[in-house]
Amino acid sequence: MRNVEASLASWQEQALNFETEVAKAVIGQDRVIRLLTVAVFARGHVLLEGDVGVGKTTLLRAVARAIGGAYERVEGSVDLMPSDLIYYTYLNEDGRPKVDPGPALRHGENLSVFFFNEINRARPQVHSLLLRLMAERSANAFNRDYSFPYLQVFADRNRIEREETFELPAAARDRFFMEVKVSTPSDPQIRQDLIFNPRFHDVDALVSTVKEETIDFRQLPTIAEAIQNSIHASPTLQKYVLDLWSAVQNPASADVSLPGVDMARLIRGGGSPRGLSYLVRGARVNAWLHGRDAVLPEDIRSLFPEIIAHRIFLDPIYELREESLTRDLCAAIFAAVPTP
Amino acid sequence: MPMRCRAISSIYEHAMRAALVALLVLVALSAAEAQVQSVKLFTPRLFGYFVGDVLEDEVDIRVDKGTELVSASVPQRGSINAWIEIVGSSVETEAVDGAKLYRLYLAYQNFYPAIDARQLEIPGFTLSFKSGDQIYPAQVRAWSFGISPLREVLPPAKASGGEYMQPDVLPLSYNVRGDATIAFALLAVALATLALLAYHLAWWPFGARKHRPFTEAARSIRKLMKVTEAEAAYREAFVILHRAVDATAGHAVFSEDVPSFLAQYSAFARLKDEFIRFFASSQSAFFSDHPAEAITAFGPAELRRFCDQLSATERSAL
Repeated sequence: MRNVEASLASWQEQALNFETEVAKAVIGQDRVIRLLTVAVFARGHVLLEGDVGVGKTTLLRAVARAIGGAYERVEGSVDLMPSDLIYYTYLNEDGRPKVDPGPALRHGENLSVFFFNEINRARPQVHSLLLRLMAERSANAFNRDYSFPYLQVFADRNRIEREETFELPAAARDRFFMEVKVSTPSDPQIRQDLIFNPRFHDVDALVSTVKEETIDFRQLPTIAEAIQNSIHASPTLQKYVLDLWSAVQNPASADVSLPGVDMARLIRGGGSPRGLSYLVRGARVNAWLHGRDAVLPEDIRSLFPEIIAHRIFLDPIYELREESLTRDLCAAIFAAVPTP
Repeated sequence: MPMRCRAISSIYEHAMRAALVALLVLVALSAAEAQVQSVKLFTPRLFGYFVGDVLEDEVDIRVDKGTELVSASVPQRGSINAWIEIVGSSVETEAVDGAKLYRLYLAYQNFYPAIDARQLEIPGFTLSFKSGDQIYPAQVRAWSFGISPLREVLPPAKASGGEYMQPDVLPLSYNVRGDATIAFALLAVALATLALLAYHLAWWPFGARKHRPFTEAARSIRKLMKVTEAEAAYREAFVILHRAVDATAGHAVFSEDVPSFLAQYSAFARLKDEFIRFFASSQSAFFSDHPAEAITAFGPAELRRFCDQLSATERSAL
């Protein structure tokens, strides 16, 4: 037990180092980096969302470099097919057709970061392959099973265009541990730095400043399990999370109301059991990152929008205002549900 | 003949003496006239007065420069005789063409209950003026006015079946609606102001209705702790106090929200240390495995004291 505590403490140090390294390449995104760290240590897949050119790709490359292990990147497009991820077909020097493992399989079980760029441009068939990759960390090809024990999927999508895009099905979104919104930093100093400092002009050079393999990706599953087993969630906290869940599913019962919204109609589906379990997993990691041995309501609250908000499905008439409504709903729920 | 001569000479002597006296008087008068240039009396209407009327006259005396009125010679308020009384007396001066003009205003009230029309006289008087050591008199002449009775005397009214007493005059009814409206409006303003003041100072009934979570929490915690100080009661007390903090803030308050809570409700800022220790103990009691630590860190006695402080601060601040 003492061993576990000691190794958790040293891993916490490494996790904070990891954050510092990533922050070298990406400035003004401290909260996003913290969320990604939580996801890494909770072994969850992340969907990044944001405007074009805010540094999503740079951030993920920095994260991949700091985690170490094999890194693969795929660009989503309309004509991308699931087989393109698994197989690589080409003609060899003798002019004979040849099939090799594609990007997903190429690195075998060493694949640690799989980065799917512009995921909403890929077809649903690709999404479903990704579902299996994410949920089971395995794929079937060349008549055998491939497993990826260290795999973590990062995907990104931009919400600017809607043409030639495929909305992610609810099942796929539910499999993502977090949906993180990356926005432009608001601090004028950082904005100025990002534009004028030549350091940020060359992304390759920038990413190379991040120290490689700050954490050992092979140990991540073990340490993630140790965190989940040793960070305490008290009965009061468990009750709080259950209260939050029922408030999400039936806001009116918790006296939650939003101006101009029929609360009885608002929610069509509110938070899956998997989502809530992800929430608690993330909260445990967050508590551990703060050096605590118990989860606090603050941990739940700080991760709730990223982990639960995209699992709340609103009535179609409120869908256009989904983003702001969900944000307000989360805030109202936390204001209304008391603890301890 | 000698008798006759003596008589003639006696007449002559008398005549001479009279002429001498007249000359002396003339000299004296001309000297006085030299100082007092003119005396003019302006009387009011001279007829048609009744008992109780006030008559105002004015006497203008023009004197040489350097000549002063002896104020003691000015008639003062008070009765002159049985039926007339001076009720006003004032003097004004002004300079006119190298001379000095005194304007004396007198008001007489007549108390003569006349039973027939008759003339009454207001007596004259002498004013004294002083120039150097010399005193110069100025005579104000008497004047008379006509007074009438209030009722006929003959034949007696009773003889012809009349009455001496007039019928009572009916009271005049004034229209007071405007004044009443103003009075009611002012009363309404006063009451509204009083209500505002009562609200501001939390007097009854506003004081009683005011929502005071900490005061209520302190009351229920005191009741709870009176029964038992066991761990369950202690935890319940914590929950009650948490709800009071939430109710004050209007939303659930966590440990990390304490700084913003204190910034918003600055009256409680002086209890910052207690707040921090309360939330830390609450965390150990409810979210970690060490409830015993909470009791030692923030015991029941301290919890009660914290409640009382919060309640007092709330009453004084809100």
